Amino acid sequence: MPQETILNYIAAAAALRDIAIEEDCLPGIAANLSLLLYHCAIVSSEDTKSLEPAELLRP
Amino acid sequence: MRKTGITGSEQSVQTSLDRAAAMRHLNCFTAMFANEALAAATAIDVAPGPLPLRGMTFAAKDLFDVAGRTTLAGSRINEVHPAATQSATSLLRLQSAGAVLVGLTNMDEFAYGFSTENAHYGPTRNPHDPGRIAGGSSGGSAAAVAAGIVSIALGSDTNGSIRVPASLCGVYGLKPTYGRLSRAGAFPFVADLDHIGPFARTVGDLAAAYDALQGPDPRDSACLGKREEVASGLTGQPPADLRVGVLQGWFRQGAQEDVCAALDQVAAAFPRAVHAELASAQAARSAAFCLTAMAGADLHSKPLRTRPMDFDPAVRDRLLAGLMLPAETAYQVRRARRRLMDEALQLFQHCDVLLAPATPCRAPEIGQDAITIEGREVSVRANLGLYTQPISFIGLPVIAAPVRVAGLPIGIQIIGPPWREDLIFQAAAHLERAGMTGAFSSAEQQARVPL
Repeated sequence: MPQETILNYIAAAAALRDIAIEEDCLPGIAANLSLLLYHCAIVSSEDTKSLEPAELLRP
Repeated sequence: MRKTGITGSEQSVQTSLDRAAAMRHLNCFTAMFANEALAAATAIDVAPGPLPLRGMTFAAKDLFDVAGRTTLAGSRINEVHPAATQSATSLLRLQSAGAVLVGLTNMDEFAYGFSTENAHYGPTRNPHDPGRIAGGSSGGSAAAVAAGIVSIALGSDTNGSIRVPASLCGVYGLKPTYGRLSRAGAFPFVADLDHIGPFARTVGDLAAAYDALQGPDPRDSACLGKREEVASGLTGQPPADLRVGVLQGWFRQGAQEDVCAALDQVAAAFPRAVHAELASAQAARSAAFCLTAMAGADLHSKPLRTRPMDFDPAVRDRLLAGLMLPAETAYQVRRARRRLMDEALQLFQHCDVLLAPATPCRAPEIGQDAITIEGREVSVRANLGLYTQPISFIGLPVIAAPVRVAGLPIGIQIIGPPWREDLIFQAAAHLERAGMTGAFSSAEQQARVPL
């Protein structure tokens, strides 16, 4: 994902959630968010196998 | 001034305090309780009856409550918290068994990291090479045991925070089944994944500590009603004819050659060792990564809003990123967890225990940002738990055991089915008796010749 998109997402999410983020923190947060979204993509790509009705009903 | 004519627990405590002073450069401790420890030792020396841990000293990660003291969890943020009114259950149980608490140990802030390079309290240094990290987040505890300062130490493990430092410092570490040992009075991180457990230099000491720690606790809702199962007797039994699965796939990808060689060397001690697979391990590891960020961010969301600059910067940035993950991830994480547990239970129909590396490499240098995994430079802080995260994600019991190899320590994971700590203790005792695993002193480490 382009760096600019990540930074825009952080700014929007922070504004919506009323979180003030110092300018100095942005690169670190962006790097961590990129890594987390990479892991989210791995989890999501494996998840399609489990989306059967019986599976979804499991608590 | 050092007293003369002391014996028993008092002698052990004095030796421990002297050694802690001599090893101050390792930065294992954030608090020492010299006077309290000597007073407790005096009382134990005159106490009647058997005490299984009499004469043993212990340390605890600085996230366990000590009555009368504010629990810092490696942070400055918590300095405004009130003092604990009661000590953690695990501390009280070790003390009831005759062990004496000498101090609290350094850790990654709020247990979020694998290196114990704490921005507030400095890095803990590896006793085998002070230029290298001890691992984390329970790095101070592992280093204090490895340096011979204490007999046992308590740590916590959410993603590998007992097993990673045990591996890098060359000691034994136990992460029991989720819910086996009480976490009451331990500062939380991720309620679904938090475990506590001991470090020790021998399997016998590890089992003795584990036995003293067991028992249900109404103060921890995950630790209710499970019967105690004594492990100490198991370590002297003849070698068990265990069916052993050596995990392949995810658990070898990215491991350095010497780590794979150490694992193979250990596996050869089991005549019935076979290759085994957990196909969902990678997704489970990613799911654990995401769950940790989300739950940690939730736990600390208030100070993240009000006092962000008082956090360790590396921890703050990870937590703030965790606040911004999509909600659907929470449900996908749950399904990933179930999938891996189903696979593991299937595997345990054919295997008694599983073996895997504990870390992909030996201890990196202090300040080193990246390690090479499969030809890619990746963050040290995020990736030392590559092989531990999938296992704690499904709460399986694990002993991290130090392999007898040349050079810096390498640890392996001995993984059991849920509630079968007995099997992993049998396997660990077998390996120790066979001379395949065991802790080295720092001096011994330097003097050894390659196997």
